[in-house]
Amino acid sequence: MKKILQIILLLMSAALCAGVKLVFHACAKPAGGMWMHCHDAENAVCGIAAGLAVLSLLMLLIKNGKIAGCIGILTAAGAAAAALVPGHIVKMCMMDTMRCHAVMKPAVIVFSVLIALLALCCAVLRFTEKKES
Amino acid sequence: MRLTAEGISKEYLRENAAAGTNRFCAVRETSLTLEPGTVTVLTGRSGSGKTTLLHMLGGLSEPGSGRVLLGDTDLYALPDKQRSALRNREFGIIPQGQTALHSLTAAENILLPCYLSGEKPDLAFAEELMQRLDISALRDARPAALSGGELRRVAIARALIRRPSVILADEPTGDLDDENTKTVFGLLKETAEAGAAVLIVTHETDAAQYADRQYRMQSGALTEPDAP
Amino acid sequence: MKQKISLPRRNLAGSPGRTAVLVLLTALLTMTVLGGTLIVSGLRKGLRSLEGRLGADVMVVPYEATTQSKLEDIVLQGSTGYFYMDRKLCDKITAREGVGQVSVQLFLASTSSGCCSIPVQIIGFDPETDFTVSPWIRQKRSEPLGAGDIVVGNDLNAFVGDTLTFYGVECHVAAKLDKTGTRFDTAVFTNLDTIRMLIQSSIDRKMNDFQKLNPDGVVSCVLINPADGYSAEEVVNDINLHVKKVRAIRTKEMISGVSDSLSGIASVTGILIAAVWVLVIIILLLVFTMSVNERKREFAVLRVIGASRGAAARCVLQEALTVGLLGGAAGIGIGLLVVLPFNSLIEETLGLPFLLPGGGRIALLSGAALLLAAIVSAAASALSAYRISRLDPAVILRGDAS
Repeated sequence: MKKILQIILLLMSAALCAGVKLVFHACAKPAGGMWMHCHDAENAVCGIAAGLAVLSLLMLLIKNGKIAGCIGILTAAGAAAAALVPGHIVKMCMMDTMRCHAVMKPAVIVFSVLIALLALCCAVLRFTEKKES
Repeated sequence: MRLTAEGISKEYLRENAAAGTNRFCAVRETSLTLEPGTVTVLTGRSGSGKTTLLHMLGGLSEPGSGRVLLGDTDLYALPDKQRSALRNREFGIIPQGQTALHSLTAAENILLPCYLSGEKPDLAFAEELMQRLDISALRDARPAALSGGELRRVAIARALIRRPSVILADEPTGDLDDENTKTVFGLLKETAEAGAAVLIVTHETDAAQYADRQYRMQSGALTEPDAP
Repeated sequence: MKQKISLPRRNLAGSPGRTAVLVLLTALLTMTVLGGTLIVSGLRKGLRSLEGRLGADVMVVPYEATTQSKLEDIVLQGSTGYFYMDRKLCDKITAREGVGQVSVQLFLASTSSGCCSIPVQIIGFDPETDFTVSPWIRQKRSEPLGAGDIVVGNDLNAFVGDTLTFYGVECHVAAKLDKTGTRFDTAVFTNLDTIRMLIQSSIDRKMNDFQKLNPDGVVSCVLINPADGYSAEEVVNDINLHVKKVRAIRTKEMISGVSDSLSGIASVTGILIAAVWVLVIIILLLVFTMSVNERKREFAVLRVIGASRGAAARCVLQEALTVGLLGGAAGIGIGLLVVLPFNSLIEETLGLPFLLPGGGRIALLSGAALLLAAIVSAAASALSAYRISRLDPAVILRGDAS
């Protein structure tokens, strides 16, 4: 059960990292124009999600429950930060009806909230696990 | 408490492809008294009506005629809720076959009658029973992990946990080896000596040595073995 | 060893696969019910909001505007566009019989605002005569707008005190409106002087389709309320018959078109919800029946140990109720996680005015959905519970024994 949850966490972090670039990406670059602010938000989320994927992989590999639990909490905090990137930490486009607001931001929030919850669950499970004798 | 059956009988409807539905008499008019402090052993061939008689005595199957009295209380005159509560409190029934609940551990299965009544379970007594029946090590095991004999012993402990005044055991030693058979009969005998009325339905010939009274069931009729 | 256990809960935990399927099904049921209801009520609220915001019964626009067949898009949705007619036409219209309140508006679409090259609809109104926009601007700002002051719709990421540049003219954000779920959320409002300045600037920069325009001599539309004793229909017919080069439209007519498509969406949603319901109820019924059939012997044992008929049935019902509540809560969580953050996307996809209900109402609807999930799963298990209460333990336990 613990292992499955941690693998799901890893997959979801990877999905956020790839998805924000490929599926629910920010506004497209206008023909001949410059990248918009939301593009920075997209890159930031992608970077944080890559970090989350690495952290969840570490949690999966590390045998020590206490250390793995701490990594889980760190992952949850990182996911919370990712949720705040679009609009709060990095500025986005002008109108709420634009793609970065209508598609990227909510998708990032949904993924980040789920990752944060899952990471907390994993952290609790790893903290409370019994030492293998 | 004394359990008395007064002229009870039971008929079933049987589906028969050739003859259609017909009536089948499982137990003919029978009277029987289980005295407190005694072990009564009931033997008989398969299909002779032993289990049906035991179910009627335990308040599980209403007889076609006659009545069953626990002390002065007519079991089948009580509404279902009260009869069930009485069964929980005063009867320890060991049914045939595997009867453990799969979602509970062995220990929880044993304590189930206490959980149902809502009264505080006697954990020390449960521990004692498990030790006597040699299943202490299995307390946290699920029924799926237990053998037939182990499940039988769980069912026996479950029947005894509330210190009932009547014990009705249907083939209690069916899946047990000789040593465990001895332990179980011994335990039932002790329970009777402590004041319970015990009925054992069995094929085991060894049971006779624990019996205060013996009956034989033949084609739905109860006879004492020595009777002509 | 425990002092107390909850048998229904243990039964559910004992068959995690079956429980997961049941919870998932009820979650699906709750999610569709809540999501569907939220979307339909969001559309209703959006439409009401639009009705309240349109303000005028009759709208007169230059005839060319209607040939672009985009008028409805501009009035109802956020599409941007601009068109102009001679101011003298406005005087002709005002002089017609039956015309009561009159106010003019000037439109312009920006090509660039701040960071993003997304056109914004700029609407200029006349503060002296306006009866459509001013009332709800006044909710946010009581002083009149000065030169260069703008009021922004709720969907624009600009705040009071910000400066937005349109065609090189710096405009000062004086107020931000509440969300309406309509095209007004992405629009910018200003007075006639400011918009004329902007139009002139767009012409100077050769960024306007109407290069020979004199901003002082044109208007984009005339908004009219009929005088007492006249109906909007009479005024519309009169103007269309007697004033050339313009087209008068009843705004309510446009909304009724939206109303029709809304009731279409509502009934399709209703049918979908009903279909999911029927399917889920049938599956729940089957799964409960199967799971109880499988455990008949266990229930017979419970009866032997002293559970009454009612207690055995209650055990089945409690299992179902727990499943319903768990699934309901999960369904509400997933439903809200989809509908709330993605509401802009839903609005875009539907192409209709969309305004989500307030927090209190969402909480109420969620509570109702949870209750529904509990009731549906309890109802689906009622038959099994009844059968368990009727079961004859003697028959079950005897099996093939005597």
